[in-house]
Amino acid sequence: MPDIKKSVGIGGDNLVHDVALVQAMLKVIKNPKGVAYLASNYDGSYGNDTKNAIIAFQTDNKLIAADPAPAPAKGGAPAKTAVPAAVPAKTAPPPPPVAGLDTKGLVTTDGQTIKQLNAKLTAPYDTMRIIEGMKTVYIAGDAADATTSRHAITTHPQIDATFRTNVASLVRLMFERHGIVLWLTPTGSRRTFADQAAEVNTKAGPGESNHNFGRAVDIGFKHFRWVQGDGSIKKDADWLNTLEKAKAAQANAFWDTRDAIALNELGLFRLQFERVHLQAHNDATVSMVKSLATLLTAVGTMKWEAAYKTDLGLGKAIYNVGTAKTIWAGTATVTKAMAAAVLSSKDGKAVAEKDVKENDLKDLQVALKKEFETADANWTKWTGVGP
Amino acid sequence: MYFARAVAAILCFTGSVCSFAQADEKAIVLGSFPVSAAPHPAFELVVAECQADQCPIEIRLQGRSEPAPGLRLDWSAPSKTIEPGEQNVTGVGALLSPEKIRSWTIGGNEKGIAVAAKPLLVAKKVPALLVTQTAGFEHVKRRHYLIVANAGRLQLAWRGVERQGPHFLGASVVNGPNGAEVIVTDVFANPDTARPDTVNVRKLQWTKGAAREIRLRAPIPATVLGPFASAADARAARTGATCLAGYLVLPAGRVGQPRGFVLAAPASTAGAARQALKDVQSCAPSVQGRAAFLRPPA
Repeated sequence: MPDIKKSVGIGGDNLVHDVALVQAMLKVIKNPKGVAYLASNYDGSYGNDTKNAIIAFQTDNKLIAADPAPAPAKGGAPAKTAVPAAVPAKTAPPPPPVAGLDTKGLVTTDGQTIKQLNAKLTAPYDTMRIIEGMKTVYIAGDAADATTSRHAITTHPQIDATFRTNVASLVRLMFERHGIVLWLTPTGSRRTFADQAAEVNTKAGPGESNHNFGRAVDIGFKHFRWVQGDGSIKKDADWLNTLEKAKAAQANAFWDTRDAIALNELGLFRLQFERVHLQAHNDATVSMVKSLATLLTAVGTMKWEAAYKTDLGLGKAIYNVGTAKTIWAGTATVTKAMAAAVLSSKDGKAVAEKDVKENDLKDLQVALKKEFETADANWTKWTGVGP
Repeated sequence: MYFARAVAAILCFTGSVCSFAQADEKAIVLGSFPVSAAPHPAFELVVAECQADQCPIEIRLQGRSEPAPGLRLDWSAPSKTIEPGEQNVTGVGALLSPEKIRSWTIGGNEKGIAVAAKPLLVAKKVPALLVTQTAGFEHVKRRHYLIVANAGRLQLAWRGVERQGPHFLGASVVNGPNGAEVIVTDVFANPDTARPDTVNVRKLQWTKGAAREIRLRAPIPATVLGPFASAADARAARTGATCLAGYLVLPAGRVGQPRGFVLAAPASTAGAARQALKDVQSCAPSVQGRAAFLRPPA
């Protein structure tokens, strides 16, 4: 049920979120003529339109004492009791209400006006909510969706156990506090190295993403619906793109609300530029390329250094073999000198570069990719290494 | 004084990694971008003095003898480590083009900001610079800026902000019938494998001293692969070859075919589309393709 925290109206506190919520209610509730009480779009700013809408609603629903009948104008009909066209937004506190009635132009947290406003809302507007400090009203999510989302995370076999516990807690707390359902986006959980190679929205090659090791999720807004200024409902994407286009600061505020829980209470970390992503550690403390080199060395047959050099398993010289993307694609940088060194070691006798064949180079590229495949299979052994 | 700073600036030449740990007090000029046929000072792409771990990236006008404020881009770099390079594609949906654009990565591979720039004339005697910033490692985001020089002052004429999630915003300079044009491609890479991606193409129109986006109604060149019976089939083909990663899954109607889906990449010219097709045929020979034209969405 839509709920205000403090009073709205003449002499009220008029906090932006309360004003926006009352305005949104007055925008979707129609008067006996079928017209919205609030003439303008709702925006969280208290002014004459809002005041007039409140008084009109109170008058129509007999929530305030009727104004004393004004003296008839000379030679004419009595003046209408309608709301004045322009009333100063801030006035002195109104007189005490008549017992059982509300104060004219004021919506209090426990008064009849807020109760009547709620009573007149129909689904799905009857679950309208707003977050403190914001001015965008939204429709509460479905509890079943929240439960399903949480279950999917807590039972996800490819998200690090500690991390997924925190992410599931985030889903629970976000729904409990704000009625917002978060969920893993379709490509938002663990990615294999092959998945990573197919990603186009990243600079991270295979093995260079937190997603490759179950330490990151893309967790967006499930079936999120917000109320536009004119009272219509907009269903948004997981990334709040429609709201972002209309009111970027408000979209950011929803992400900030998520992150207030995720970062401050659960110790998760966000990225600077992409909001949907959360991860288990602070980027400033971990180098993904150094961490991958460490994993490659730990589980493979070669010694590796970051970005990317390897001893080819020979324990001697270190060779630059290219990027994670090229190594995974089977196009690692390999030379005849490298192949000759490998062949010499394998055969136990010196092999000259001139004797190296194209297939030998290809075999070396395959061997290097094999190291990455081994790291992929051992993704749970990844540990973050500092930059 | 700007002039003094400019004199002290260090030119970072393409081809090597430049580290300026000793020069934090000074601005670094990454590159100069004269606009041909325009009697105007060249634009300069500059890394300004760092404040703590924030090194602002600015556009300035070359050779100004009096203080003139640079135009600061949204994203600052975390350090002045600079790696020059070239790029010929600035993201999914950016127009395929054989032209390589000068770019620099500032602040390191994982935490750095890449910036690329290309000069143009947006109207007769109105020089401009199209600048693209690319940020992020795990997830990449882009911002584009069209900056014009107007009576010796810089003016931000347009800013393109890539949205959150799997959205891509490309901005490319192409030769249009009336001179250089900026084409903006807005892509949603649908994570739902059963449904197609979307791409909307607009161009920046320069009128009355301002740039505004208008929908491009004319078809644009594209490399087209397929058709495929379903969007999922198209995605499977795309996954099968690394060189197809940047191709979009679109309804075949966008390229004039009656049914099904295609993989498509918009291009700057028909020649660029044909060249891209040759590249695909060498890396994914089993995929049928052609150079065609991409229509606006219905």
